[in-house]
Amino acid sequence: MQQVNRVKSHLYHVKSFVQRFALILLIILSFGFMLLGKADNVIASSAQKILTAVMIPILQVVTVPVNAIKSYAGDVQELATLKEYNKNLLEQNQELQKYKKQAKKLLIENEKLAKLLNYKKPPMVKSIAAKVVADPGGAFAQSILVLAGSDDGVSKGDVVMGNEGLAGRVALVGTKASQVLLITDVNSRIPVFIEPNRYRAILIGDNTKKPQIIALPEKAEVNPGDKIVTSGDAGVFPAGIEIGIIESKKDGIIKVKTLVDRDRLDIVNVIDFGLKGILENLKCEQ
Amino acid sequence: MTTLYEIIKKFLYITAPFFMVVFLEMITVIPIRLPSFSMVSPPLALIPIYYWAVHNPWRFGIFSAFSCGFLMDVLTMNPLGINALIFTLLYYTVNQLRRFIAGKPFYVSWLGFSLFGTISLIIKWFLISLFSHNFGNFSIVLISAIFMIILYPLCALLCYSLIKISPEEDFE
Repeated sequence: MQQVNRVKSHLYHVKSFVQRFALILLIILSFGFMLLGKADNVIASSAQKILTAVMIPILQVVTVPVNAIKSYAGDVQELATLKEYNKNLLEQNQELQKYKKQAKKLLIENEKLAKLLNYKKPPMVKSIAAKVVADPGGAFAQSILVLAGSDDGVSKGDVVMGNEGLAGRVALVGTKASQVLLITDVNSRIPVFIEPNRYRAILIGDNTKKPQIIALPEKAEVNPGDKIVTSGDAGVFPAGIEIGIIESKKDGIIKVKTLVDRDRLDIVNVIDFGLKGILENLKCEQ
Repeated sequence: MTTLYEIIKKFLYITAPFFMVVFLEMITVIPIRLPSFSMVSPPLALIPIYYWAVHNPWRFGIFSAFSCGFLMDVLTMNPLGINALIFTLLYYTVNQLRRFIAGKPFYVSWLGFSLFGTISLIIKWFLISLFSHNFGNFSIVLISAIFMIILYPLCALLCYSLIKISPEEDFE
Protein backbone atom coordinates (compact mmCIF):
# COMPACT_ATOMS: atom_id res chain seq x y z
CA MET A 1 0.00 0.00 0.00
CA GLN A 2 2.83 2.32 0.97
CA GLN A 3 4.57 1.51 -2.32
CA VAL A 4 1.41 2.34 -4.31
CA ASN A 5 1.14 5.68 -2.55
CA ARG A 6 4.80 6.38 -3.29
CA VAL A 7 4.24 5.60 -7.01
CA LYS A 8 1.12 7.80 -7.05
CA SER A 9 2.99 10.67 -5.45
CA HIS A 10 5.86 10.22 -7.89
CA LEU A 11 3.42 10.24 -10.84
CA TYR A 12 1.76 13.39 -9.48
CA HIS A 13 5.15 15.14 -9.36
CA VAL A 14 5.97 14.05 -12.91
CA LYS A 15 2.55 15.28 -14.11
CA SER A 16 2.89 18.70 -12.49
CA PHE A 17 6.45 19.01 -13.83
CA VAL A 18 5.29 18.17 -17.38
CA GLN A 19 2.34 20.58 -17.15
CA ARG A 20 4.61 23.36 -15.96
CA PHE A 21 6.94 22.94 -18.87
CA ALA A 22 4.35 21.76 -21.41
CA LEU A 23 4.21 25.03 -23.31
CA ILE A 24 7.99 25.29 -23.70
CA LEU A 25 8.20 21.61 -24.58
CA LEU A 26 5.47 21.85 -27.24
CA ILE A 27 6.92 25.04 -28.76
CA ILE A 28 10.32 23.33 -29.04
CA LEU A 29 8.62 20.25 -30.55
CA SER A 30 6.75 22.41 -33.09
CA PHE A 31 9.93 24.15 -34.23
CA GLY A 32 11.65 20.76 -34.29
CA PHE A 33 8.99 19.43 -36.68
CA MET A 34 9.30 22.57 -38.81
CA LEU A 35 13.06 22.10 -39.12
CA LEU A 36 12.66 18.38 -39.86
CA GLY A 37 10.10 19.15 -42.56
CA LYS A 38 12.25 21.91 -44.03
CA ALA A 39 15.15 19.48 -44.37
CA ASP A 40 12.78 17.11 -46.26
CA ASN A 41 13.65 14.58 -43.63
CA VAL A 42 12.61 10.94 -44.07
CA ILE A 43 11.06 10.90 -40.58
CA ALA A 44 8.83 13.90 -41.32
CA SER A 45 7.58 12.56 -44.65
CA SER A 46 7.07 9.08 -43.17
CA ALA A 47 4.98 10.56 -40.35
CA GLN A 48 2.92 12.45 -42.93
CA LYS A 49 2.44 9.31 -45.03
CA ILE A 50 1.33 7.19 -42.07
CA LEU A 51 -1.12 9.78 -40.74
CA THR A 52 -2.53 10.41 -44.22
CA ALA A 53 -3.07 6.67 -44.69
CA VAL A 54 -4.93 6.53 -41.37
CA MET A 55 -7.10 9.53 -42.25
CA ILE A 56 -8.08 8.38 -45.76
CA PRO A 57 -10.84 5.90 -44.77
CA ILE A 58 -12.27 8.40 -42.28
CA LEU A 59 -12.23 11.16 -44.90
CA GLN A 60 -14.00 8.88 -47.36
CA VAL A 61 -16.78 8.28 -44.83
CA VAL A 62 -17.11 11.99 -44.01
CA THR A 63 -17.34 12.94 -47.70
CA VAL A 64 -20.26 10.56 -48.37
CA PRO A 65 -23.07 12.91 -47.20
CA VAL A 66 -21.41 15.92 -48.87
CA ASN A 67 -21.11 14.03 -52.15
CA ALA A 68 -24.72 12.87 -51.89
CA ILE A 69 -25.98 16.45 -51.43
CA LYS A 70 -23.77 17.64 -54.30
CA SER A 71 -25.05 14.85 -56.51
CA TYR A 72 -28.74 15.68 -55.82
CA ALA A 73 -28.11 19.39 -56.39
CA GLY A 74 -26.32 18.55 -59.64
CA ASP A 75 -29.21 16.34 -60.79
CA VAL A 76 -31.73 19.12 -60.20
CA GLN A 77 -29.53 21.62 -62.08
CA GLU A 78 -29.11 19.17 -64.98
CA LEU A 79 -32.85 18.61 -65.27
CA ALA A 80 -33.40 22.34 -65.66
CA THR A 81 -30.91 22.59 -68.52
CA LEU A 82 -31.46 19.17 -70.10
CA LYS A 83 -33.06 20.39 -73.33
CA GLU A 84 -30.38 22.98 -74.04
CA TYR A 85 -27.64 20.53 -73.04
CA ASN A 86 -28.97 17.93 -75.46
CA LYS A 87 -29.09 20.44 -78.31
CA ASN A 88 -25.45 21.44 -77.63
CA LEU A 89 -24.38 17.81 -77.57
CA LEU A 90 -26.00 17.13 -80.95
CA GLU A 91 -24.21 20.13 -82.47
CA GLN A 92 -20.90 19.05 -80.95
CA ASN A 93 -21.43 15.51 -82.20
CA GLN A 94 -21.96 16.69 -85.78
CA GLU A 95 -18.78 18.76 -85.61
CA LEU A 96 -16.79 15.93 -84.07
CA GLN A 97 -17.88 13.52 -86.81
CA LYS A 98 -16.17 15.83 -89.33
CA TYR A 99 -12.96 15.87 -87.24
CA LYS A 100 -13.10 12.08 -86.83
CA LYS A 101 -12.89 11.58 -90.59
CA GLN A 102 -10.00 14.06 -90.84
CA ALA A 103 -8.20 12.42 -87.89
CA LYS A 104 -8.44 8.97 -89.50
CA LYS A 105 -6.88 10.29 -92.71
CA LEU A 106 -4.09 12.06 -90.79
CA LEU A 107 -3.39 8.98 -88.68
CA ILE A 108 -2.85 6.83 -91.76
CA GLU A 109 -0.67 9.51 -93.33
CA ASN A 110 1.33 9.90 -90.11
CA GLU A 111 1.98 6.18 -89.86
CA LYS A 112 3.21 6.05 -93.45
CA LEU A 113 5.57 9.02 -92.93
CA ALA A 114 6.88 7.62 -89.64
CA LYS A 115 7.65 4.34 -91.40
CA LEU A 116 9.46 6.15 -94.23
CA LEU A 117 11.61 8.18 -91.80
CA ASN A 118 12.19 5.25 -89.45
CA TYR A 119 10.90 7.46 -86.60
CA LYS A 120 11.29 6.14 -83.07
CA LYS A 121 8.13 6.80 -81.05
CA PRO A 122 8.46 8.17 -77.51
CA PRO A 123 7.58 5.72 -74.71
CA MET A 124 3.91 5.42 -73.80
CA VAL A 125 2.94 7.54 -70.83
CA LYS A 126 1.34 5.83 -67.86
CA SER A 127 -1.85 7.48 -66.69
CA ILE A 128 -4.05 6.83 -63.64
CA ALA A 129 -7.40 8.48 -62.97
CA ALA A 130 -7.75 9.38 -59.31
CA LYS A 131 -10.56 10.81 -57.21
CA VAL A 132 -9.97 13.94 -55.12
CA VAL A 133 -10.81 13.07 -51.50
CA ALA A 134 -9.57 16.15 -49.69
CA ASP A 135 -9.16 19.76 -50.67
CA PRO A 136 -7.82 21.74 -47.71
CA GLY A 137 -7.91 25.01 -49.63
CA GLY A 138 -7.59 28.07 -47.45
CA ALA A 139 -5.20 30.95 -47.66
CA PHE A 140 -2.10 28.97 -46.74
CA ALA A 141 -1.68 25.98 -49.01
CA GLN A 142 -3.07 24.94 -52.34
CA SER A 143 -2.99 21.17 -52.37
CA ILE A 144 -5.32 18.24 -52.81
CA LEU A 145 -5.32 14.65 -51.66
CA VAL A 146 -6.05 12.05 -54.36
CA LEU A 147 -7.00 8.43 -53.94
CA ALA A 148 -4.05 6.78 -55.74
CA GLY A 149 -0.72 5.91 -54.19
CA SER A 150 2.38 3.84 -54.65
CA ASP A 151 0.23 0.67 -54.79
CA ASP A 152 -1.30 2.08 -57.98
CA GLY A 153 2.05 3.05 -59.46
CA VAL A 154 2.09 6.72 -58.50
CA SER A 155 5.49 8.21 -57.69
CA LYS A 156 6.78 11.57 -56.46
CA GLY A 157 6.94 14.17 -59.21
CA ASP A 158 4.24 12.63 -61.42
CA VAL A 159 2.30 15.21 -63.41
CA VAL A 160 -1.33 15.80 -62.42
CA MET A 161 -3.78 16.95 -65.06
CA GLY A 162 -7.32 18.23 -64.69
CA ASN A 163 -9.85 17.99 -67.50
CA GLU A 164 -8.45 20.90 -69.46
CA GLY A 165 -4.84 21.47 -68.41
CA LEU A 166 -2.05 21.13 -65.88
CA ALA A 167 -3.21 20.94 -62.26
CA GLY A 168 0.04 20.27 -60.39
CA ARG A 169 2.47 17.55 -59.41
CA VAL A 170 2.61 14.77 -56.85
CA ALA A 171 4.49 16.00 -53.79
CA LEU A 172 4.03 13.13 -51.34
CA VAL A 173 3.13 9.52 -52.03
CA GLY A 174 1.48 7.17 -49.58
CA THR A 175 0.47 3.60 -50.30
CA LYS A 176 -3.19 4.39 -51.01
CA ALA A 177 -3.20 8.17 -51.49
CA SER A 178 -0.98 11.01 -52.67
CA GLN A 179 -0.77 14.70 -51.97
CA VAL A 180 -0.69 16.98 -54.99
CA LEU A 181 0.88 20.43 -54.95
CA LEU A 182 -1.29 22.61 -57.18
CA ILE A 183 0.18 25.14 -59.61
CA THR A 184 -1.49 27.89 -57.58
CA ASP A 185 0.45 27.01 -54.39
CA VAL A 186 2.95 29.55 -53.15
CA ASN A 187 5.69 26.90 -53.39
CA SER A 188 5.00 26.11 -57.05
CA ARG A 189 7.54 27.28 -59.67
CA ILE A 190 7.09 26.13 -63.27
CA PRO A 191 9.31 27.07 -66.24
CA VAL A 192 6.97 28.10 -69.07
CA PHE A 193 6.82 29.41 -72.62
CA ILE A 194 4.51 32.29 -73.49
CA GLU A 195 3.05 31.72 -76.92
CA PRO A 196 3.13 32.82 -79.71
CA ASN A 197 6.65 34.31 -79.30
CA ARG A 198 7.82 31.51 -77.00
CA TYR A 199 9.26 33.82 -74.33
CA ARG A 200 10.74 31.86 -71.45
CA ALA A 201 9.41 32.74 -67.98
CA ILE A 202 8.51 31.25 -64.61
CA LEU A 203 4.96 30.71 -63.40
CA ILE A 204 4.69 31.14 -59.64
CA GLY A 205 1.73 30.46 -57.39
CA ASP A 206 0.61 32.95 -54.74
CA ASN A 207 -2.19 30.91 -53.12
CA THR A 208 -4.80 32.75 -55.17
CA LYS A 209 -6.75 31.38 -58.13
CA LYS A 210 -4.50 33.25 -60.55
CA PRO A 211 -0.75 32.53 -60.49
CA GLN A 212 1.78 35.10 -61.73
CA ILE A 213 4.43 35.24 -64.42
CA ILE A 214 7.93 36.32 -63.37
CA ALA A 215 11.45 36.32 -64.86
CA LEU A 216 10.20 37.44 -68.26
CA PRO A 217 12.90 38.80 -70.64
CA GLU A 218 13.15 42.61 -70.40
CA LYS A 219 11.93 43.48 -73.89
CA ALA A 220 9.30 40.75 -74.06
CA GLU A 221 5.87 41.90 -75.10
CA VAL A 222 3.01 39.85 -73.80
CA ASN A 223 -0.70 40.50 -74.05
CA PRO A 224 -3.87 39.25 -72.42
CA GLY A 225 -4.97 36.08 -74.19
CA ASP A 226 -1.43 34.78 -74.82
CA LYS A 227 -1.20 31.05 -74.16
CA ILE A 228 1.03 29.64 -71.38
CA VAL A 229 2.56 26.18 -71.82
CA THR A 230 5.26 24.28 -69.92
CA SER A 231 8.73 24.72 -71.38
CA GLY A 232 10.13 21.41 -70.16
CA ASP A 233 13.17 23.11 -68.57
CA ALA A 234 14.45 21.34 -65.44
CA GLY A 235 12.69 18.20 -66.56
CA VAL A 236 9.94 18.18 -63.96
CA PHE A 237 7.16 18.78 -66.50
CA PRO A 238 7.32 17.76 -70.15
CA ALA A 239 7.23 20.58 -72.70
CA GLY A 240 3.98 21.73 -74.24
CA ILE A 241 1.43 21.05 -71.52
CA GLU A 242 -1.18 23.78 -71.59
CA ILE A 243 -1.55 25.76 -68.37
CA GLY A 244 -3.72 28.77 -69.17
CA ILE A 245 -3.79 32.21 -70.73
CA ILE A 246 -2.59 35.63 -69.62
CA GLU A 247 -5.57 37.35 -68.07
CA SER A 248 -4.21 40.74 -67.08
CA LYS A 249 -1.06 42.84 -67.06
CA LYS A 250 -1.08 45.63 -64.51
CA ASP A 251 1.84 47.49 -62.86
CA GLY A 252 4.26 44.82 -64.06
CA ILE A 253 2.22 42.02 -62.50
CA ILE A 254 1.10 39.45 -65.04
CA LYS A 255 -1.77 37.28 -63.87
CA VAL A 256 -2.65 33.95 -65.48
CA LYS A 257 -6.07 32.38 -65.79
CA THR A 258 -5.53 28.63 -65.44
CA LEU A 259 -7.38 26.17 -67.64
CA VAL A 260 -8.02 23.96 -64.65
CA ASP A 261 -10.96 25.08 -62.56
CA ARG A 262 -10.07 24.27 -58.96
CA ASP A 263 -13.73 24.30 -57.97
CA ARG A 264 -14.55 21.49 -60.41
CA LEU A 265 -11.55 19.28 -59.73
CA ASP A 266 -13.28 16.01 -58.84
CA ILE A 267 -11.19 13.50 -60.76
CA VAL A 268 -7.62 14.05 -61.97
CA ASN A 269 -5.19 12.15 -64.18
CA VAL A 270 -1.87 11.27 -62.59
CA ILE A 271 0.62 10.83 -65.40
CA ASP A 272 4.13 9.39 -65.34
CA PHE A 273 5.99 10.85 -68.33
CA GLY A 274 9.12 8.98 -67.31
CA LEU A 275 11.10 12.18 -66.91
CA LYS A 276 14.34 12.25 -65.02
CA GLY A 277 14.22 15.78 -63.75
CA ILE A 278 15.32 17.75 -60.74
CA LEU A 279 13.17 15.68 -58.39
CA GLU A 280 14.89 12.46 -59.48
CA ASN A 281 18.33 14.05 -59.01
CA LEU A 282 17.34 15.19 -55.54
CA LYS A 283 16.21 11.67 -54.71
CA CYS A 284 19.59 10.30 -55.87
CA GLU A 285 21.48 12.89 -53.80
CA GLN A 286 19.56 11.83 -50.70
CA MET B 1 -17.37 -1.48 -9.02
CA THR B 2 -16.97 0.38 -12.32
CA THR B 3 -18.91 -1.17 -15.17
CA LEU B 4 -17.79 -1.28 -18.80
CA TYR B 5 -20.62 1.09 -19.67
CA GLU B 6 -19.27 3.66 -17.20
CA ILE B 7 -15.74 3.29 -18.56
CA ILE B 8 -16.95 3.85 -22.14
CA LYS B 9 -19.10 6.78 -21.01
CA LYS B 10 -16.16 8.38 -19.23
CA PHE B 11 -13.88 7.77 -22.21
CA LEU B 12 -16.39 9.45 -24.53
CA TYR B 13 -16.82 12.29 -22.05
CA ILE B 14 -13.09 12.97 -21.97
CA THR B 15 -12.38 12.48 -25.68
CA ALA B 16 -15.48 14.09 -27.24
CA PRO B 17 -13.98 17.62 -27.40
CA PHE B 18 -10.87 16.24 -29.10
CA PHE B 19 -12.94 14.35 -31.67
CA MET B 20 -15.05 17.44 -32.28
CA VAL B 21 -11.91 19.36 -33.29
CA VAL B 22 -10.85 16.44 -35.53
CA PHE B 23 -14.34 16.39 -37.08
CA LEU B 24 -14.16 20.12 -37.88
CA GLU B 25 -10.68 19.61 -39.36
CA MET B 26 -12.20 16.97 -41.64
CA ILE B 27 -15.02 19.32 -42.62
CA THR B 28 -12.40 21.93 -43.53
CA VAL B 29 -10.62 19.61 -45.97
CA ILE B 30 -13.68 18.07 -47.65
CA PRO B 31 -13.92 19.25 -51.27
CA ILE B 32 -17.10 21.36 -51.20
CA ARG B 33 -16.63 22.91 -54.66
CA LEU B 34 -18.38 26.19 -54.04
CA PRO B 35 -17.05 28.77 -56.53
CA SER B 36 -13.82 30.32 -55.17
CA PHE B 37 -14.56 28.97 -51.67
CA SER B 38 -11.45 26.78 -51.62
CA MET B 39 -9.29 29.91 -51.65
CA VAL B 40 -10.80 31.37 -48.49
CA SER B 41 -12.17 28.35 -46.65
CA PRO B 42 -11.89 29.18 -42.94
CA PRO B 43 -9.87 27.01 -40.52
CA LEU B 44 -12.88 25.99 -38.43
CA ALA B 45 -10.79 23.93 -36.00
CA LEU B 46 -9.57 27.14 -34.33
CA ILE B 47 -13.09 27.74 -33.00
CA PRO B 48 -13.38 24.66 -30.73
CA ILE B 49 -9.75 25.09 -29.63
CA TYR B 50 -10.66 28.57 -28.39
CA TYR B 51 -13.99 27.40 -26.97
CA TRP B 52 -12.50 24.51 -24.97
CA ALA B 53 -9.67 26.69 -23.69
CA VAL B 54 -12.27 29.08 -22.25
CA HIS B 55 -15.21 26.89 -21.27
CA ASN B 56 -13.92 23.37 -20.68
CA PRO B 57 -10.12 23.24 -20.32
CA TRP B 58 -10.26 20.19 -18.01
CA ARG B 59 -11.57 18.06 -20.90
CA PHE B 60 -9.21 19.42 -23.54
CA GLY B 61 -5.62 20.14 -22.57
CA ILE B 62 -2.67 21.78 -24.23
CA PHE B 63 -1.39 18.40 -25.50
CA SER B 64 -4.73 17.80 -27.23
CA ALA B 65 -4.42 21.23 -28.89
CA PHE B 66 -0.92 20.35 -30.07
CA SER B 67 -2.06 16.93 -31.42
CA CYS B 68 -4.97 18.51 -33.31
CA GLY B 69 -2.59 21.06 -34.81
CA PHE B 70 -0.20 18.34 -35.90
CA LEU B 71 -3.07 16.46 -37.55
CA MET B 72 -4.13 19.67 -39.30
CA ASP B 73 -0.58 20.07 -40.64
CA VAL B 74 -0.79 16.62 -42.18
CA LEU B 75 -4.26 17.12 -43.65
CA THR B 76 -3.60 20.55 -45.13
CA MET B 77 -0.02 19.87 -46.27
CA ASN B 78 1.22 22.88 -44.34
CA PRO B 79 4.80 22.60 -43.07
CA LEU B 80 4.76 20.17 -40.13
CA GLY B 81 4.61 22.00 -36.81
CA ILE B 82 3.01 25.26 -37.99
CA ASN B 83 -0.57 24.47 -36.99
CA ALA B 84 0.68 22.57 -33.96
CA LEU B 85 2.43 25.75 -32.80
CA ILE B 86 -0.52 28.01 -33.62
CA PHE B 87 -3.06 25.76 -31.86
CA THR B 88 -0.80 25.42 -28.80
CA LEU B 89 -0.18 29.17 -28.53
CA LEU B 90 -3.86 30.00 -29.03
CA TYR B 91 -4.90 27.47 -26.40
CA TYR B 92 -2.32 28.62 -23.86
CA THR B 93 -3.00 32.35 -24.31
CA VAL B 94 -6.78 32.00 -24.18
CA ASN B 95 -6.58 29.61 -21.23
CA GLN B 96 -4.51 32.14 -19.30
CA LEU B 97 -7.09 34.86 -20.00
CA ARG B 98 -10.22 32.71 -19.56
CA ARG B 99 -11.30 34.52 -16.38
CA PHE B 100 -12.00 37.60 -18.53
CA ILE B 101 -14.15 35.64 -21.00
CA ALA B 102 -15.81 32.70 -19.20
CA GLY B 103 -19.20 33.46 -17.69
CA LYS B 104 -19.52 36.74 -19.60
CA PRO B 105 -22.17 37.46 -22.30
CA PHE B 106 -21.77 35.62 -25.60
CA TYR B 107 -20.59 38.68 -27.50
CA VAL B 108 -17.52 38.93 -25.22
CA SER B 109 -16.55 35.38 -26.18
CA TRP B 110 -17.21 36.20 -29.86
CA LEU B 111 -15.14 39.38 -29.69
CA GLY B 112 -12.35 37.48 -27.95
CA PHE B 113 -12.34 34.88 -30.67
CA SER B 114 -12.39 37.55 -33.39
CA LEU B 115 -9.22 39.01 -31.88
CA PHE B 116 -7.30 35.82 -31.05
CA GLY B 117 -8.48 33.93 -34.15
CA THR B 118 -7.38 36.72 -36.47
CA ILE B 119 -4.01 37.08 -34.70
CA SER B 120 -3.51 33.31 -35.03
CA LEU B 121 -4.16 33.45 -38.77
CA ILE B 122 -1.79 36.38 -39.21
CA ILE B 123 0.99 34.57 -37.31
CA LYS B 124 0.35 31.48 -39.44
CA TRP B 125 0.51 33.54 -42.63
CA PHE B 126 3.78 35.10 -41.48
CA LEU B 127 5.37 31.75 -40.57
CA ILE B 128 4.30 30.07 -43.82
CA SER B 129 5.55 33.07 -45.81
CA LEU B 130 8.92 32.80 -44.06
CA PHE B 131 9.03 29.10 -44.86
CA SER B 132 8.26 29.50 -48.54
CA HIS B 133 10.37 32.69 -48.94
CA ASN B 134 7.34 34.28 -50.55
CA PHE B 135 4.75 36.47 -48.87
CA GLY B 136 1.40 35.10 -50.02
CA ASN B 137 -1.69 37.19 -50.64
CA PHE B 138 -2.67 38.81 -47.33
CA SER B 139 -6.18 39.84 -48.38
CA ILE B 140 -7.35 36.21 -48.65
CA VAL B 141 -6.11 35.65 -45.10
CA LEU B 142 -8.36 38.46 -43.93
CA ILE B 143 -11.35 37.15 -45.93
CA SER B 144 -10.74 33.72 -44.42
CA ALA B 145 -10.67 35.32 -40.95
CA ILE B 146 -13.99 37.08 -41.61
CA PHE B 147 -15.62 33.78 -42.66
CA MET B 148 -14.22 32.15 -39.54
CA ILE B 149 -15.60 34.90 -37.28
CA ILE B 150 -19.03 34.69 -38.96
CA LEU B 151 -19.12 30.92 -38.41
CA TYR B 152 -18.11 31.20 -34.73
CA PRO B 153 -21.67 31.18 -33.29
CA LEU B 154 -22.56 28.00 -35.21
CA CYS B 155 -19.47 26.08 -34.07
CA ALA B 156 -19.78 27.48 -30.54
CA LEU B 157 -23.35 26.18 -30.47
CA LEU B 158 -22.05 22.71 -31.42
CA CYS B 159 -19.51 22.86 -28.57
CA TYR B 160 -22.17 24.12 -26.14
CA SER B 161 -24.48 21.26 -27.19
CA LEU B 162 -21.70 18.77 -26.49
CA ILE B 163 -21.29 20.16 -22.96
CA LYS B 164 -25.06 19.94 -22.44
CA ILE B 165 -25.21 16.34 -23.70
CA SER B 166 -22.55 15.18 -21.26
CA PRO B 167 -22.81 17.33 -18.12
CA GLU B 168 -19.97 17.23 -15.64
CA GLU B 169 -22.12 16.13 -12.68
CA ASP B 170 -22.40 12.68 -14.25
CA PHE B 171 -18.71 12.13 -13.63
CA GLU B 172 -18.14 13.69 -10.26
